[in-house]
Amino acid sequence: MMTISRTDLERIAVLAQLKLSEDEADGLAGDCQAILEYFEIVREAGAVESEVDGPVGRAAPLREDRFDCDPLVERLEDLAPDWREGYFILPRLPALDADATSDDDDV
Amino acid sequence: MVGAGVSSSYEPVIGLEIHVQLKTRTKMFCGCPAEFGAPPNTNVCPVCLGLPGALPVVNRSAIELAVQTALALGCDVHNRSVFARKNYFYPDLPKGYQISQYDRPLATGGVVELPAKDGSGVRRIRLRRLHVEEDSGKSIHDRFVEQTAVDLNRAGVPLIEIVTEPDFSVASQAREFLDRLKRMLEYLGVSDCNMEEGSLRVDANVSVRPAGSDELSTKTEVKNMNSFSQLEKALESEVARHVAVVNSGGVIEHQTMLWDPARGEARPMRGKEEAHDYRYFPEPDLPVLELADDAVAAAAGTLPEMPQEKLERLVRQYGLPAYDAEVLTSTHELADYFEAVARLTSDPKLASNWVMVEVLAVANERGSSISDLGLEPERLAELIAMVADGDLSHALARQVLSGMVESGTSAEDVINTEGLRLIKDSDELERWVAETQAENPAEVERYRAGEVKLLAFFIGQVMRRSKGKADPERLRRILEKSLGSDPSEDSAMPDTG
Amino acid sequence: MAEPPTRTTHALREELRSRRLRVGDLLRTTLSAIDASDADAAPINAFITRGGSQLEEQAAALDRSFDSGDEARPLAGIPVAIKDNISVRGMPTTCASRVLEAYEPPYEAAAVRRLRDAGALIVGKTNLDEFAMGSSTENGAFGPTRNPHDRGRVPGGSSGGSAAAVAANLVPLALGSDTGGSVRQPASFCGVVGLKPTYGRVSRYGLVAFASSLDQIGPLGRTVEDTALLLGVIAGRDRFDSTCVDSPVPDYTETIDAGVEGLVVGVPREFFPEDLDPHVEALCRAALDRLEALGAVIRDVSLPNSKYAVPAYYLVANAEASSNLARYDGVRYGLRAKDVQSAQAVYRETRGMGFGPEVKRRIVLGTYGLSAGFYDQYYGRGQQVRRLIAADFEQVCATGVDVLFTPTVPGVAFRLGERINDPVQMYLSDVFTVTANLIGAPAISLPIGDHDGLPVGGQFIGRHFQETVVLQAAWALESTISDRPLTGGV
Ligand SMILES: [Mg+2]
Ligand SMILES: [Zn+2]
Repeated sequence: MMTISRTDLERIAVLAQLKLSEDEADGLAGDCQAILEYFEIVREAGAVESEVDGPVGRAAPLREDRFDCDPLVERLEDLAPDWREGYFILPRLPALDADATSDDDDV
Repeated sequence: MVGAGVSSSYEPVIGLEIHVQLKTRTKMFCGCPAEFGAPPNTNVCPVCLGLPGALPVVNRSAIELAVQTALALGCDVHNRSVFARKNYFYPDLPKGYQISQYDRPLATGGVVELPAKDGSGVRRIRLRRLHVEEDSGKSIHDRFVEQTAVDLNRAGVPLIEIVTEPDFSVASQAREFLDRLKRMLEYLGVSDCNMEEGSLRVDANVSVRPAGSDELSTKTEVKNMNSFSQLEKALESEVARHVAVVNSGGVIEHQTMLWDPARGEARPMRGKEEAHDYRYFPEPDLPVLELADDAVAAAAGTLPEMPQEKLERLVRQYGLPAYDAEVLTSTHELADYFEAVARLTSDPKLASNWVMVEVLAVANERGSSISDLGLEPERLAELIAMVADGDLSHALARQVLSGMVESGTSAEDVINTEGLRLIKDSDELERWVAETQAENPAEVERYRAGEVKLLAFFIGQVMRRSKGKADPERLRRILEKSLGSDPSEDSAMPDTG
Repeated sequence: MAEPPTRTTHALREELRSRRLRVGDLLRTTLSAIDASDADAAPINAFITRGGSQLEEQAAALDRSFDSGDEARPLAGIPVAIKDNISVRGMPTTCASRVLEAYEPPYEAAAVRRLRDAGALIVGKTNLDEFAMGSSTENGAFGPTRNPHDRGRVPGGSSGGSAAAVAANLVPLALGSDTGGSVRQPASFCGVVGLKPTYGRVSRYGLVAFASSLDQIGPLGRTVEDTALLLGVIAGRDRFDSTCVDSPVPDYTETIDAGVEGLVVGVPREFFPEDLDPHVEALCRAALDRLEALGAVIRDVSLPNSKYAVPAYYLVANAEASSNLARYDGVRYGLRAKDVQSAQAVYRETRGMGFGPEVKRRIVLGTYGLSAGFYDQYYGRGQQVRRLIAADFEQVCATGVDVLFTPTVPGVAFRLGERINDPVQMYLSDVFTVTANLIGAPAISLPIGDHDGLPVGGQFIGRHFQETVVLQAAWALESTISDRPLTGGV
């Protein structure tokens, strides 16, 4: 049977960028354990060939390459928590080189 | 001897991962303009901003361009492929995931051949996969102090990612591969391939192993190369580092290296201590991407001629040397231009010389493309015909060419307005020859004394006097006659007798 | 002060058309009924946001349009409430979450546009479990909704606000969203009709995603016919949703009274377990008797893998949710934690303070189920079981069964707070509803009686895109039930 340890929980919290207080982490570890135990029943179900279907089992529709976006009716600067000279602003990522963008990284 | 043999006892194993922005009007999953250079955060909508409730819709043109590229590279294009989410947090990744493809990519397989070189045979670079995905936005870290500025104009621009097998054993092969790939992409018209603007981006993974073995060693990823020559340098430097570490008994760590072009070295990327776990899963907002066999066949039927095929055909059809064909096929535009000219002339080799030497020189001088020169193939062909018929000297024809580009008129017009017609009139030529001889009696003496190579000197002098317009054929005959028929010729004879 | 309208949408339409009832008056009585429902020591709290002055203008325009005599739109002047996870212009869309407390969407959901085009008055945004994650409407940041039939009890969830608003006669129609039963389960608890359309029948564009492969917007109404009318307005192709299907939308109300003569109704034995509340079972059996009396053919069937439906559902839904909720990072919109020094701190603090406990629980479980080494045994397993259940359903349909009939929920509305600390018990209230989401089939819940004054719902599950058949069966059954609890405790 699978168990979810505090270490697992901390790893998951980092992946999910989720700050958890000590109390929350304790509660979550217990809850998740109970839920995962309950989920164990699915192991009894039979096997199935895992041919990947789309969500509806049909083909993705293709859009013509035309300017056709749904226009915004509010200004982005009214939406943004922090905005400056046309940019979304947030505190600098630490330990990043000045020219790094995620395309140098993950995309 | 350990020291001397070391570097040759290891061989590099290099693979490339290439991201190419596709030249579509709109983004991959929304109808926003995909153009480069708009004011920040102006080409955005609910979809590419990742607003709650927004959904992706696939751009047909992006798929068509990706399929064409895959076919041109000899990949198997799959009837069914699946979009997947790649989950990670980054300020310029609006949804917290990138829509990409994972275990069911658009295409797999494929080969690019690098021709035989320096005694080595043809090298086959195998392609592992080609898939479509969306670009991220841009995080700008140096605009505001201690702050990251995010521009999402680029978020959602369509990309293809091409992954090679680790089939390169020398850095220069990687560069040659990229040159070829870039040329193919330009021929296909699927991308601008501009590394500076980021429409072509290359990452590499590098490892070394004892020469001849097929063991797997730890590899590092090298990123942030902004030109092919930087890429070559970065690979050489990283290979050297691997060899040095292994030789000193060290162990290569699996990590990402950022190339610093200014310092000429790759440094480990900091801040990557969080192990990546992208939690890929099929994108539930997009059904399977289906490509019918006949649609793929139709795309294959409309593929333009690729650079290598074109090169071979130019050699075959026009009898050009391989070197000429290589230069002429460097861009699709140049090759088309050459063919348009060659069809109108009787001498394809002469046409090749004019296009690859003179026309390219004028274009380079003016920093413009061939089409911007406004030099219609018909007009260049007229000019070449005049040279072939002996109506213009090569030198004069070069002047006419630059006059044609300057004025946008025909060779005939330039010749008339600038008086660049070849002077064939014997009286005039004889007068120039007489004047020249009179001014250079010493050289006349030496010529007549047997220094016949001075003929070139006299031709040059007369040409200068005629501003290049003297008909070279006639001039030569008149000069030879005039220099040889001097009355003093007899008195010079005894010296040699 | 006029009584809140207890009439059906069809009746209201008649009165508006004949100008015995003015849109302006209807709007005012609706808004004051909403206010009154909250002015109580135990407020119903069905709404998070109530429409304001802009509605007056719209109502006036509608009245002029009725005066001119050419107002023929299907929902002209009809007040409609919208679950607060569906984007409506000019109002916040909070999803009952701190993380979106002040977020006003700069665009509108496709379904809402269709409602506006049909002339509806969008009177407010209804309460829900945070991001629709819950079965009781207790998990929101803005307080629980109370069941109009018993204010000490939950209305069900997550579309509890919409169901309560209809049950309390605050509005005749409402939109909810149904990922694992979130329209049908509260409809059952509140004694109203709620329908989950076939996956792909209604555009999800503008519906804040919880679990993308399961979510559907669904209509709630006081009668089957009203629900059918609303479905007809919101259904249909949308170029902004790739999973929305381009198949014709029939007039669901036109054939709704076709009857059930010869209709084969399957009764899956797994949905009538031994520990089923006997009162619920009795009401279901009585309903089946009446269907049979109307000419339906009742047949015992089996969906053997449906016993794995709840865990399979949660494995899939949580995984998708963990990814769908990654965009709430404090960068572009919504909440941002103050006084933080790095981008990572923006994410972690914003998400830590912005999400409530149930959402965090599901993000953690979903992230875990997708993470390296666990995918196959969790998310992947969930998807496999989903296919097994779909195969069971296809097999049953292949034997000629037209619809399935089941209880909607194993019991009646439970007490506020009763299950809030027992997630597994909470999840089990979806045991009969998740199957339709997993297989993408249409399903409806309608009142089939009550127990101790609390409504009990029955569910029809139909074949894909056979909403017409589901509605016909539900209409026929509804017509045999005279004691359905039409009005709540207002
Ligand atoms: Mg990529
Ligand atoms: Zn966009």
